[in-house]
Amino acid sequence: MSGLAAASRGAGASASSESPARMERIAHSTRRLLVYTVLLAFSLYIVGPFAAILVNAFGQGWFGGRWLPETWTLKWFRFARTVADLPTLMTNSLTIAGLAIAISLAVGIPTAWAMAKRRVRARALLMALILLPRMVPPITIALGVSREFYGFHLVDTHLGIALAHSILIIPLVVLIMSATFEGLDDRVLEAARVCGARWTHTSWYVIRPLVMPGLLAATLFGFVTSLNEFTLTLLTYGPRTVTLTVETYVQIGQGFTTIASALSAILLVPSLILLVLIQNHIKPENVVGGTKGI
Amino acid sequence: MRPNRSSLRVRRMLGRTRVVRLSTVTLLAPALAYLGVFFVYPIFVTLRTSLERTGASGYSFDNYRAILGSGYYWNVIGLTLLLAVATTLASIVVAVPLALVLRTHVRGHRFVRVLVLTPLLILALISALGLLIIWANTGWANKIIASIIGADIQVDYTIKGLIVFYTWLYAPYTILTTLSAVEAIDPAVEEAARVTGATPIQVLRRVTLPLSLRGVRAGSILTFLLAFEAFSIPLIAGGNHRPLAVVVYTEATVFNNFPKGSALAIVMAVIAVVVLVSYQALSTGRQRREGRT
Amino acid sequence: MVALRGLTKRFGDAVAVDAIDLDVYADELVTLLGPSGCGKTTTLRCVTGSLEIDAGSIRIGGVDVTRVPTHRRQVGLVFQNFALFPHMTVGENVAFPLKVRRVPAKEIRDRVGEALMLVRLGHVADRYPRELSGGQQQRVGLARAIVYRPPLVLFDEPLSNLDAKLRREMRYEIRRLRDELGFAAIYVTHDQEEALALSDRIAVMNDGVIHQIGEPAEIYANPRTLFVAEFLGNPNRIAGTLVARRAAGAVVQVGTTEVETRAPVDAIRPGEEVVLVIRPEAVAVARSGGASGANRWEARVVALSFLGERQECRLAVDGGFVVHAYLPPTRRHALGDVVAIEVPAGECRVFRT
Repeated sequence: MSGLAAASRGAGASASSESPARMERIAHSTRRLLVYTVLLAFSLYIVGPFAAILVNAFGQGWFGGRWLPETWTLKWFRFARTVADLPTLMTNSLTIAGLAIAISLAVGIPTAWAMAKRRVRARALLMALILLPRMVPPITIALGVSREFYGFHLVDTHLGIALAHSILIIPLVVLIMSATFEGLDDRVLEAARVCGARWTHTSWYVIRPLVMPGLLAATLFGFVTSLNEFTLTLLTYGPRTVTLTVETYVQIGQGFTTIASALSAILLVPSLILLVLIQNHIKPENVVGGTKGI
Repeated sequence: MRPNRSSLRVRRMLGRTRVVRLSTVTLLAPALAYLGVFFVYPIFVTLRTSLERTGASGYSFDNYRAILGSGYYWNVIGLTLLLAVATTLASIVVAVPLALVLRTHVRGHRFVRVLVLTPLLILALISALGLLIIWANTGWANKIIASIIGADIQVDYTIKGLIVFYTWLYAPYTILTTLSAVEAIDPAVEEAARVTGATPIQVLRRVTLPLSLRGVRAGSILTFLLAFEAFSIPLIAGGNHRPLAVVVYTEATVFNNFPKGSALAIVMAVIAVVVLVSYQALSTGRQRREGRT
Repeated sequence: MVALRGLTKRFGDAVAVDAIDLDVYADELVTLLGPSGCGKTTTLRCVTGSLEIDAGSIRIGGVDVTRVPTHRRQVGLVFQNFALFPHMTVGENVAFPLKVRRVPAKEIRDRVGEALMLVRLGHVADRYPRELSGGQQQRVGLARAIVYRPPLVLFDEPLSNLDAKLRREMRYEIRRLRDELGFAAIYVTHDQEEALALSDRIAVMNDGVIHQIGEPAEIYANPRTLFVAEFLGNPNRIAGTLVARRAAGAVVQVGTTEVETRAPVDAIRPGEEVVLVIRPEAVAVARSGGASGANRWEARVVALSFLGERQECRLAVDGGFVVHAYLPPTRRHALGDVVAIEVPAGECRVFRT
């Protein structure tokens, strides 16, 4: 009885499942093909330009529809060093980025703390105000800033450009750090005080380690923002403060795409390092939120 | 016995320092001062400059009249909006399938997720250079496409090209928000749809896509604004196609007409802020209706 | 050890703590007991200095600490949500109070080990709080609060995040620690069973004021206000009218029934509306008959539920009121049965409404 039932069940299954199973397999492999086509096409679309820049930076005689250059060379980097004075460019860029980060953290962190831990009247409005510089087109700010800076003799100074960059970095710092501070449990801070920790102790032993990831993120983002800032820099730089970014633009403008590629290859390094550092630590939503204050 | 000893200990440990507690206003002051000096004031300067008359003293709306009365500037505004809208649509076309694929955590999804972030962190100028090289007439992209469709397409220095470049640069915003919306969908909801007899296509169209819309909307507004404000890409890759930001820059620096450039910059800022504010007004209204706040 | 005088704390217009006075002596555990929002946690946080008070004074160990910042008050605090430092191991958590006091490293090691032994957690010193169970985390919280031997340890509903069984176990643990180390303690809870089991004295709070302070048995037996009488135990509350005063006690009319009481009725005059409070365990239930004499009535069983260790029933007195009472689990009654009940006049308390 039971053997019969099993047999009929088995027969029924094999007879009727023959074609659905095959259909299923075909559907499955089609789906896989589709999925990987989408991923591969997207990856090529994104990676292509970087590959092109690297090939251009290290290649010679890459034109006339060739797939790859005739020979490989380091001479564009040499040109970048001598013609474009790479060490000075890097010093300028790093000095400005360092100053901008220092200013932005000093200005932004107290505000972030107040937004996260204090009762602030009209909090949403205030936050919108702080994020406003990220909503207005950079060129609109840049025009006014360049005029203002001429008056204050801040044009063509590292400090001036750093101050201009901070306009865009401070909102980022406030956004990231206030989210970080909100994550601090008030009870844990109270516990530290009750345990006998004065403010300095609480800050150092409890708050600092707990907010370190956020602080790191804010610093790195600010740093890259400054290194990559173009619009504001273009309207406030001068002969003494040419940055990597501006020089890249100048070289492209003059048609020297190979030297520009060499400079770009150098500029890519910090951004790619950041990318590797953050990909596990930062929620993409934060990156997006920081951009336009939404 | 014990109270005395403890009180001694307490007394010994108590010092005379007072608690220093900075007021909230003190904490907010630096940022607000900064905002005033380096943001509000420059905007005010731009606004004032925009009212100056070229080669004359006093203030007037001449620059605005000139801009709004000229077909050239209307064309520029039209081009800028066209680029922004086209980029937004193209980004949605890229974002939705990609988000649906990434959501399934196929092999390699992590790598692609990192790739999505790259355009956000790379200087637009570098991207523009790379895009120009790869999409040049003799570049890789053109050769591949030509070998597939069998015809040459001109991409660099065209509007088509600008849209391709903008999409490369700004689609990640739409992708990220769409992805987070798609991943926030409770699988049980889709399962419920399947159990009640919906085919995979129906589940996608009636459940998954409507629930992803929120993310698509949030990312689209970002993509739109960034494309609207784009400067460095059209500056070096636009050729004869100059959107607003580039015209503002050339007007102010190349033609040295700061007042007119400023007026254009103000027009541009007004459009951007109006778009953003009306989007937020609409989306808060919608969220209230949908019961999410 | 602790002396609060006229302690007042307002939040905006709301008075959270209204001029309370409280003394805690060096060797006792005093519980602040009350419903949520009664001001007990606020009082505690004023003692730690986490909240600034609006009026009054706080003395700890004879020293006025009203204006002393939290970190110099030398108190231990055990939190409801544990509030352990998530980035430190158990050992580092317990060492923290010693570290900020600049205790030498070797002594820190010894005292942390000792504190962890005291809470029976010697084996987890290198783990992180998130790797521990709730009960273990709270033991770490305990160790951190006592490691620097503060003369006063405060407990802010420390057991309410734990499950019932663990709660009972930790109760004994806390009591044992207090007896071994001899600190003064203020313990905040809304759980009366916890308060009764744990305390040397209980202060019952409501609406920012202390209604009564006393030993658990004393407060349970002789509540001084209607709130205290109702909050402790699970009493019957019967509305009536005071009709006559006696030398010791009074007569209260409920419906057509008169109830005699021998509790003090102070300033209540005949004719006033009052509330009778009768504990269910004071109601003696006999099978039937002989329903005459003071506070003896016939009653009908209108509801009955079996609770394992006892039965709970609701009894309707003719022309009067409904009381609930306890029966031994073995008694057999059916709904509608008529029984005889008696309530000793000394167990009937009368309060103004």
